[in-house]
Amino acid sequence: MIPDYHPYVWLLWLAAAGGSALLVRNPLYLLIVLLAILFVYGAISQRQQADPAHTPQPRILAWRTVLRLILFIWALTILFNALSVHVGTVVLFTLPRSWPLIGGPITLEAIIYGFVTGLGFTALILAFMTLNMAVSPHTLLRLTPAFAHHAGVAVTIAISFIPQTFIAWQEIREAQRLRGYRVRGLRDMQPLFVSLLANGLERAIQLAESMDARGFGGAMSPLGVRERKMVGISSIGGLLLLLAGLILRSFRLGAGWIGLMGMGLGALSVAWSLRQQGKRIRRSQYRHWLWRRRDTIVAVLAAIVLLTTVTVSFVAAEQLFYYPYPPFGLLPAFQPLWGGLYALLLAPALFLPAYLPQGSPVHR
Amino acid sequence: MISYDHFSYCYPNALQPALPDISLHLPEGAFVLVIGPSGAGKSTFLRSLNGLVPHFYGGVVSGQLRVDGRDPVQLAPHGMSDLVGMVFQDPESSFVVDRVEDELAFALENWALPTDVMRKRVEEALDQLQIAHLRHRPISSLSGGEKQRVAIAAVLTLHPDILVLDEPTSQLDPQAAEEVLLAIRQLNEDLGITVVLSEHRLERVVQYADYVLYWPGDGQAPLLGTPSEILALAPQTPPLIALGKRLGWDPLPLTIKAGRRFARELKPRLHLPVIEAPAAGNNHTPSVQVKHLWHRYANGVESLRNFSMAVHPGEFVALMGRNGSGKSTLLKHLVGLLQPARGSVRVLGRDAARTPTEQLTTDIAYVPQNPDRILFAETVADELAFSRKAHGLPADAAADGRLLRRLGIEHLAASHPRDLSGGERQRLALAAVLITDPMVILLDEPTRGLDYLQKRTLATLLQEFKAQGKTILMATHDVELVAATADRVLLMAEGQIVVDGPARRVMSESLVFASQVNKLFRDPRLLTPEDVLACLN
Repeated sequence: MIPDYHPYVWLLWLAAAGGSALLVRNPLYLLIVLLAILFVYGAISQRQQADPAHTPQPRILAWRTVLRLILFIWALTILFNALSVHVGTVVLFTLPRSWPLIGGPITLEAIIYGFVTGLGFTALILAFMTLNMAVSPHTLLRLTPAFAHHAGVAVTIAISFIPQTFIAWQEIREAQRLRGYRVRGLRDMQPLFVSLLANGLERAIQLAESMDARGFGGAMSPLGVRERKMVGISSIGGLLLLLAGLILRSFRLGAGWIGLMGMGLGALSVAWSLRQQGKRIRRSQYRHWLWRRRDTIVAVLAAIVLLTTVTVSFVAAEQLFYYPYPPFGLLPAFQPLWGGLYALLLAPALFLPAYLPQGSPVHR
Repeated sequence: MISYDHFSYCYPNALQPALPDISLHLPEGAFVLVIGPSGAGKSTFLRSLNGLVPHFYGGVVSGQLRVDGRDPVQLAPHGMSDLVGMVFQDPESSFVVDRVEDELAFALENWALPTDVMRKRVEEALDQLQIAHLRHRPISSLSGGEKQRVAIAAVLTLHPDILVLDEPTSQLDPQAAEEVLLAIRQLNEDLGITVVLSEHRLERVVQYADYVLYWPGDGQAPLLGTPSEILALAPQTPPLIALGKRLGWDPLPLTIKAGRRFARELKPRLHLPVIEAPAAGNNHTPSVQVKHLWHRYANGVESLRNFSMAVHPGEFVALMGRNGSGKSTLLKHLVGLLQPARGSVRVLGRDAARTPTEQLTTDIAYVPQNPDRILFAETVADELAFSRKAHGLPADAAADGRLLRRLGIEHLAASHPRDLSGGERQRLALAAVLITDPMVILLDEPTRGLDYLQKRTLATLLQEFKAQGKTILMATHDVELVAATADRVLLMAEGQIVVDGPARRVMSESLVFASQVNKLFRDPRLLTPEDVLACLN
C-alpha cells in the first residue's frame, strides 16, 4: 500500500478523531465528527481505487460485517438505555412496574441518550476502520518501540489469524454439511471447535517454523549479570512505586503531590527498564517514511482538535456536554466555532494527493 | 557442503528413529532431489538441515551433522537462517506480513541489516524470481505459483548458500509448477546455490537433478546416487521411467527427449488397436446436468461464465485447467455449497440450488481439496460412525469394516485420523462420504501429496467405482492420473469449457495436459505404460 501520509500523522488523526468520539457528547458535534471520518474514509477508498495497481488491503472484518456490528451495537445501546433508565418527561409508554429492572416509563430522553452513545461508538469504530484501510498492520508494527517488537509481531499475527479463522470456520461448516451433519444445538458444535482448534494449531506451527527459519527472535544480545539485576529491580521497584502513588491518590492519603511524585518516579523507572530491554533487540527498519508539508498541515490540524477537546473536556466540559434528561433540554446547543473545530478532522481528505505511481521513492 | 556422519534422530515418544543412522555427503552447488514414499522421513530430513529438527520438535539426536562447517543442532534455526533458506509446502501458512515487499524484508530486519543493504537485497530477490511487478501487492491476492515464488524470494534475501524446498509444487498446476521449477534451476545454475528439494511428482523435476536421495521408508537408510542409478532401483517412478524399466531401456531415459529414441525404435513393434468411432450419444438421463451456469464471487471475479455440461451415469470425467479456472467452484455448485448467480444445476434429477447440501450428500459424495477438513472424529472407525449418524443411518460396524477393508485401511480403524499418511487420510475421507453408497462421486485434487503407489491404489479404486456405474467427476492437475482413469476430459479456462472430448483425444492434442507416455508417442491410443505394454503382447 502506498501511504498517503506519514503513519504517525494517521495515528495522530486517529487520536483526534477517536478522542473526539469518546469525549464529545453533543450529538450535533458528534455528527460532524462522524461525517468527517466518513468523508476521509471515502476519499482514501476512492484514491486507492484510482490506482490501477491497487488491490484491496485485506480487512480484519468485511465492511458489511462491520456495518452489521455497528447497527447491532447501536440498537442494543438504545434498547438497553431505554429499558434501564426510566427518567424523563416525554413518556412514550410504560412497562408494568412489577417487571424487574425494565419495568417503568420508557422515555424519549433515554432513547435519545442511547442514540448519542451509539453515535460516538460508531464514529470510533469508523475511525479505526479508516486507519486500517490507510495503514497496513505491518506498518504499525514497525512503529512499535524495540522492547515491544516481539509482542507487536505476535499481535500482527493474531490479527491476521482472525480472518483466517473465519474462513476456516466456514470451510469446516461446509465440510460437515458435506457429511450430512446438521448443527441443531450447542452440543453439535463440538466437532466444529475441535476441528477449528486442530487446524489453527497446525497453521500456527507452520508459521512459527517459517519465522524461526528466517531468523526471527535470533538477534538478541544478552544482558550482563549486573544489567539484568538493574533491569529487574527497576521494573519491580517502578511498578511498586506506581501502585503506591495510585493508592495514595485514590484514598487521598497524605499530600496530593506525594502520590503524584510516586507515580511519576515509578513510570520513569519502568520506562528505563523497558528501554534497557529494547536495546537488547537488534533489528533494522526496511521502510522509512518521508515527512512532507501535507503531513505537517494534517498533523497540526489533528493536534489542534485533540488538544482543544482534551483541554475543554477538563476545564469547560459544559461546552461539549449534552444531557437530554431534566433539568436540561432535549435540543442540543450548537456553536459554529465548535462545529468548525470538528470539521478540521476532514483534513486528511482535503490535502490528499492524487495517487502516486508505484515504486516512487517517496514511499520508503 | 552437507555431511551427515552416523546421524540419527528420533521424535519424542516415537519407538523408531525418523532418521536412522545416516552417513552421506551432498556436494556444494548440487541439485539434490529427495524422493520416497509418504512418511519415509523426507520432511524430517529437510528440517534437520537448518536445525528445525530437533530444535522445534524436541526428540533425541545422535551422530554428527555439518552444513558448510556449521552445526545446525547447536546453532538452532535462526543461527542457520543466513546459510539455509527453507521453503515450505504450503507457502500461505509461512507468510508473516501482508505485502510482498515487506515479506521479503522480514528476514533482513530480523538480522538487523542496514537499510541500504536491505534495499539492494530485496531488489535482487525480486529480479531473480521475476516478481518485481508484484512488489506492492497484498500476498492474499497472488496466485499459487506467485505465492511460491514470493516464498522463495523471501528466503533468498539472506543470501543462503543452500535452498531447501519441501514439495514446492504440490499445490500448483503444471504451468505454475514449471515456472517455479525453472526459477529454482536458474538459482542453482547461475548463482551456484545448492538446492535440496523433495517432490512426489518426479516427472516434473527429475530432469533438473544432479543427485537423487531416495528414502525407502520402513526405517531403512537413504540411498544417494545419480538420477539414473537411483530411479533404476526405486520402485516408485514416473510413467516414462516405469516404461523404460519394463522394456529394459538403457540408459534409462529421464526426459521425454531422451526417451524418443527408444519410442521410435519401439513403435513399429506395437500392434495398435483400430481407433473406434465415437459411440452414439448416451440415451440415459444425465446424472449431472449444468445449464448456462454463472457464478461471481464477492470480490467481483466471475468464476463460471455460461457454463453448460451433462455427465451420464458410469462416466468418469476429469476437469482440468489452470488454478482459478473454475473447477472447484463448479464442484461446489453440484453439492449446493454455492448458489448459481444464473443458470441451473441438476444432480440425479434434483435441483442442487434448492436442495440442502446435507440432503444432497446422501447420493453425492464430495471430497474437497484438503481431506483433513472433513475429518473430525477421534478414530478412523468413529469417522464412519459419525457419517452414519449424520445421515440418520443405523450403526453397522460390520459394513464400516467392509468399506475400510475395500479401501485398504481396515488395520487403521483404531488410529487417530491425523496420525495417518496423506494417502490414508485421502482414503478415509473417501470412506466417510461413501458410507451412503452414493451414485455420484466428486473429487477435488485427490492426489495432492500422494506418492505413486498411493496414486495407483486410488486409480484402481476409482475404476472399480466406475465399473459399478457410478458417475465420477474429478478436478485435477494430475495428468498421469487422468490418463490412467478418465474417459472424458473437460479443459476449463476462465470459467468456461475450452475443450470437451474423450480423454485420449483431448490429452494427445494438448501440449500441457498430455501424459508422459503420450508425449513420447503422440498417439491417442497410448497414454499410459500399460497401454504400450498391451500393444506389445
